Amino acid sequence: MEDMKVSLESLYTNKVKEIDYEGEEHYQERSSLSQHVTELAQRVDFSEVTEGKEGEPAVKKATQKWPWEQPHSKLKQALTEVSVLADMLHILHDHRHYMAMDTVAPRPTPSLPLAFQYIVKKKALARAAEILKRGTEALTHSSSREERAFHRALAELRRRWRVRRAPNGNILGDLGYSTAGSTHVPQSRAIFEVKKSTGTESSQAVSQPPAEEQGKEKEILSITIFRELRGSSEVVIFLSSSPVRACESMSAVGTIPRVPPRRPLPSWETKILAAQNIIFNQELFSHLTKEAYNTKTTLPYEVYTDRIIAPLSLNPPCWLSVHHVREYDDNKQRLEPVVVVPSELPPVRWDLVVAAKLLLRQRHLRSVALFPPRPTSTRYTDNPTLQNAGANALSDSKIKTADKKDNIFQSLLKMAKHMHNEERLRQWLVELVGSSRGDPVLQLHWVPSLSMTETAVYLHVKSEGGGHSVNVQLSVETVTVGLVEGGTASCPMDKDKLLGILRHQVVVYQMFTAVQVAEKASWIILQSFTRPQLSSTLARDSGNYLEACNILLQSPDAHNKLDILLEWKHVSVSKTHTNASDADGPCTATKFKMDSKFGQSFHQRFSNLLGTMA
Amino acid sequence: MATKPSGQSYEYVLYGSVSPANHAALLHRLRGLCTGATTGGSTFTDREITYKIEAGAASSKVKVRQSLDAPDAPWLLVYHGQLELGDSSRAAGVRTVVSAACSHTLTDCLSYLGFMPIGELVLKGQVFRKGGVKVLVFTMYQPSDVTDLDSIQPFSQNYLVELTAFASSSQDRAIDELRNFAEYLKPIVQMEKTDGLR
Repeated sequence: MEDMKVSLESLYTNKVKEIDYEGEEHYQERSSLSQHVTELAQRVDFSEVTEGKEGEPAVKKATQKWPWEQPHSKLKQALTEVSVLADMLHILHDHRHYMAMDTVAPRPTPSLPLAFQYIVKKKALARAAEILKRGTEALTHSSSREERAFHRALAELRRRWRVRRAPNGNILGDLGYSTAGSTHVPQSRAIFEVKKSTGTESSQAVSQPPAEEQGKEKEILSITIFRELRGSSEVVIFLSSSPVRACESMSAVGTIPRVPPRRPLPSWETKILAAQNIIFNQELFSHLTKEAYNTKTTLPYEVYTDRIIAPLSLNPPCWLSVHHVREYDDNKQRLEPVVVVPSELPPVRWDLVVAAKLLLRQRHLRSVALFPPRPTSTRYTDNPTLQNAGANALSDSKIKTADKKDNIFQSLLKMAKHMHNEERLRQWLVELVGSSRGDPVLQLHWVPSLSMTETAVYLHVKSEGGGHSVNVQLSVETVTVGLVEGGTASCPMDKDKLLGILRHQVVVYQMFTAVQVAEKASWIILQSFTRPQLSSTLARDSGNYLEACNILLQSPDAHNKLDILLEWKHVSVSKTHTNASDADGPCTATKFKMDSKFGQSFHQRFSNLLGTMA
Repeated sequence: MATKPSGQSYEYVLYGSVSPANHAALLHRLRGLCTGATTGGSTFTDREITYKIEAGAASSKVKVRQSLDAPDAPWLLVYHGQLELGDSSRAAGVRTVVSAACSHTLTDCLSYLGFMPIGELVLKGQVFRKGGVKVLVFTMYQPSDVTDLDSIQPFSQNYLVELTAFASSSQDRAIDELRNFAEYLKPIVQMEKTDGLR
């Protein structure tokens, strides 16, 4: 402390006067002693000089401060504070000389007699026990048997149905198909409410007769749905020769035959499924009516709010009738098969009903399962071909064709037409097979198929030494026949034309058989025609030469020629001597039937014929 | 229904960004909101090359988009018009889009025509869909070697969120759908009408 020197001069700091554009700083120059004195003199307030006597020098007031007053007072203050700090540190460091540290005296606690202490503790414990008891009562109530059963049933419901809790605490479920891809807005809100059922409510909510409830567990859930979704509904399709204009009762048509579920459904689920079925049928029928109304056709379609009557063909008459049957009876909301009352209505085509429903579900899935765009700048599409080919790869007509495939009503019409034509084809083919007797034997083999627009039948032509199968394919309204000689022939649903083709195929097979027999018997095959030439007299004389085949044979000794015309169940033979002139005409002309009704096959009879004509 | 998506159309766009800390929350919300996204959305890896051609004083840019995880998919040539952001009555930016699907020789064809590549990006992320709105959540990478995707470095750790909706005209209800969807994403991500890829 004695060696420390404290300077009382103010510390000079370099003040920046200006900064150049180049960044060079110019400092303020240190003022000289005279400049410093001048600054100090300027601080003196000469106006406070008191006026004294004349000639006497002015006396300065005691209030005039000397320039070092301020730093002097600051330093003095700092010295005081530092001294205080030093003293405090000294005291704390060596407190034994200056302070006596002692413990705080404990507050004397009032002591009660033991009995009173027990009473106080007992009251406190009683209060705590009461709180705990209230808590356990609440827990017991929530984990009661009924509550557990309700929560279990609710969990079971939530496994198969979308359920949520509304802001007001109600439990609501979703009945619609919007999350499954449907864009249809139902006529009423597609929700149901779930509550815990009391005894009285369950008997009203459940549709089963009371006798069935005996022995069963009491229903836990009470499902409430809107009035518009109660009852039952079905879309039924008839395919008949006359239009079905009225179908109002479920008991007249029944419901879709179903495989019974593995376990019996609880009544609330039956109720929900029936309501969902109503919504689905509403959507299906609305699509059908819209598409039927927009179909451009010359046939007279009738589209109403509850039925669609569409003729498939007028000759022969075939009508497609689609009805939306709706019953609002609460007691009949069920999905079990309805007891069908015999009526005059034709049988319902449940296969078409199921197909229509599947087509609607397919449309739902298409709107959900869109292919992600690759690269991501493209748009979502439901057509993978379009996705991979790129938009410019397909023409507008091809894209429009793809759009048309989505029409449920058109698909339904195609399927109905195909079913109708399939029935007709079946009758014609059975008639054809029945009309042929003897050799060759005709058999029909229907190829089982899940397609509703394609049918394949094999017409087996069997004879001695072999056989052949003619493939007949029906595609809605066109029949395609695979020819024995190769290639295919297509024709519309025309009985005469189709049976003519098939009879001709049998004759062609017989022609090939005859050629084989002739070759075996060393006859020379001059010509063979699957369609006879008009130059042949036999062909000209025949009434139905279009279904015939023609063969020209030469005998092994080259003396005779045979002109053979093969027809359905007939063979005409004309024999000519090789040396005979045209003016002489054929020597012998024979015509006889070749059906071996009485035992012999065509192979055998033709061999005999060649033997006699040699 | 399959429709021809090429040709000129309008596109409404909103951009936003989200940090890696909020990325999981955003994906969780998108899985709940979007259609068919229960499996977690569809991941994608795209490569985008920007080409430029100068005709005198004017210049024009086009973008070529290639899908690296679907090599058979056609390449897409896209022209984006100027993004209109100034209309305060419109909730999203709108721009014209002309796109065409092309074969894999597109880059050679553009080079032959005189287009110069000026930038290349690799985008990796996930794509979602809600009705007509497409949602992309992705990060952008600077590729040094496109064949080695493990070596690419991201521009930033944040994820860019892009909401787009196509429209056939500049006045369409698609913008309402876009705006409503953007509201669902708050406060995880704040969607704005800016040009996010600049």
